[in-house]
Amino acid sequence: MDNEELNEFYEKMAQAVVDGNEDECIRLANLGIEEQIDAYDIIIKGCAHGMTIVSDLYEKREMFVPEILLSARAMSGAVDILKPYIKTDDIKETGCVCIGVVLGDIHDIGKNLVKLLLETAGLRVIDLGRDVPTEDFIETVEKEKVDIVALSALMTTSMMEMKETVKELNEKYPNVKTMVGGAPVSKEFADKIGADSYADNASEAIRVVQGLLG
Amino acid sequence: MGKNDEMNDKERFLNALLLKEIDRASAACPLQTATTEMMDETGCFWPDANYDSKKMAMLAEFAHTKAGIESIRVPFDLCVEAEVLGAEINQGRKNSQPSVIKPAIRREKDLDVTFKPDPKNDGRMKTVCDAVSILSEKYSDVPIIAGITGPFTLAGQIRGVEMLLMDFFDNPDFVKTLLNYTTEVLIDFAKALTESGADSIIVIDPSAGCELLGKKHYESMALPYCKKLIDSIKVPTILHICGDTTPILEKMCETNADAISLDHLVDMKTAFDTVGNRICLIGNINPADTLFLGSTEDVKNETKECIKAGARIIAPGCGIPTGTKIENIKAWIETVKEE
Ligand code: B12
Ligand SMILES: [Zn+2]
Repeated sequence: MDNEELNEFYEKMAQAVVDGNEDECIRLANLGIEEQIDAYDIIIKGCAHGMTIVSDLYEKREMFVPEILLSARAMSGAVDILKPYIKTDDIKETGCVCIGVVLGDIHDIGKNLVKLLLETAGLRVIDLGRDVPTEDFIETVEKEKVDIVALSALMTTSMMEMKETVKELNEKYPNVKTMVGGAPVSKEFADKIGADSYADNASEAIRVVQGLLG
Repeated sequence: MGKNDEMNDKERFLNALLLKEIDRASAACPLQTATTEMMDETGCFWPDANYDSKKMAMLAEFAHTKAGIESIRVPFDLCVEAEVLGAEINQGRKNSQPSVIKPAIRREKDLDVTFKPDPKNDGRMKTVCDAVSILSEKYSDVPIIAGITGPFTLAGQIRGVEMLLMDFFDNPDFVKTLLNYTTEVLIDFAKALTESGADSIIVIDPSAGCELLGKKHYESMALPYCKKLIDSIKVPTILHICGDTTPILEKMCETNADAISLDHLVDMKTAFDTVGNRICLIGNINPADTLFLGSTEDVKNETKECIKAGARIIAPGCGIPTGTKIENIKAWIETVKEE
């Protein structure tokens, strides 16, 4: 495929995500692999790009949660197929991130995107899921060799939990870095609660993590 | 009664709902009224007061007798029906309401539409009915308000919201069956509550909010069922949906509710200009930033704004946060009485 065809392909994948068309996402993912298109590029330039469009449409009140969930499912359909084909920096994993959505919060679509992109960037990611109490983060840090704990919160109420979790981690494990994110979270909030870093979206999260790992 | 009042709290509240003449705005509160200060003073604490009709009635009436709220409202949470229908509930603590932790219908075949709870005998439906009886026998000139969950929210609680939303695409017929079922259950519950003496019912449907469903889905998945429920209720009925409902105000009127209770995110003046001529508007003091965290001066100012914008019943935009000081509640009530 030449460049123009490639871009057209990514566009199609993004559109299939926006449409929430899982069958089309799966078809395109398989086609991409047949055509030996880079799996990482398909995810970033196709799938994740589609999800960004979805978020924008939501902000403009042109799309609502049922459709967002459908898009997220369609995207997962493609990602499941593409994942094994991602060329990671196969020399070694560059670091370990423990990620989760804080207690009282079940919004995990954004967290899953961040996790996915971190994995594609060659990091080891331990996913604790959603509605995760502070103790579970602590326990994981204790047992595994974790470099960064990444916390997601999508509600103003759960941001308070985020504050607690960061505080505990800072007290018990000052060497482990913390990174926070989620729609209502800001750089100012991150600074105020003593988190080491903040990222506004998933691709920025990769840059931030690479910065933290030095 | 205040010194210049010509009506008692119940007359004023009911007239306000029905768009009849009133001597002044009402300071009734159709949403959750209990605070930890009230629990300390009555000795009726959550979670106990959610499970014991006498304690429920005592804690609820304290909001009227001590803080001056011009109504008495039960229950304090939104899980009564979901619990009776088999959802797993976390009982919560002194300062947190019960919440659903596990839906009841994991697979479609788990739905048994033949199971119809008997509200006067089953679980916390009975607790609430009994509390309403106690209160309505004791108070003849204060409105007794009973809260129930909306059909869409209840469906989300027993199925899981995400599952329910995916069912829209995967199995729309199942969604209809489920919504018809929750509607029937709620019709029975509302009937039992009015028979127990409730003067008004408030239907609370947070999951049908605009941020989640948008207008199109609201019209097909929430409105028809809410309308069917409200049409069945024999006393004046209020509809509350959380969040910014500006885009669906007119649709909310189509449910035939007598009043709509607005979240603080809605601009009262805009709402009044849109639907104020045909429906009573309730609201919408910011419950967290103003009532809970603000000064009495902040509360006074916002109360005045609500009156000026056209609300007939001045109340918080959602339930009263448990940490709210009685002092702030009084500032709201006194301002309504003075204006
Ligand atoms: C989808 C959704 C749901 C779904 C969640 C499904 C799921 N599995 O996640 C369902 C339907 C279940 C749901 C339920 C509820 N929701 Co909801 N929901 C949303 C919605 C519309 C979109 C969230 C989303 O997925 N966005 C798309 C993703 C891709 O974006 P994102 O999460 O922001 O993530 C990006 C960045 O933030 C960043 N990021 C995210 N996490 C992290 C972490 C790190 C470390 C980093 C670096 C970056 C990062 O990267 C991501 C990708 O670029 C938001 C509205 C909004 N504007 O956010 C409301 C919203 C979050 N929900 C809200 C509410 C109130 C609820 C409910 C309480 C509603 C109810 N009454 O039942 C429940 C209960 C939820 C609970 N206890 O957690 C409110 C929260 C209000 C508040 N208090 O702050 C919102 C804001 C809507 C609103 N305006 O009222 N919801
Ligand atoms: Zn509300």
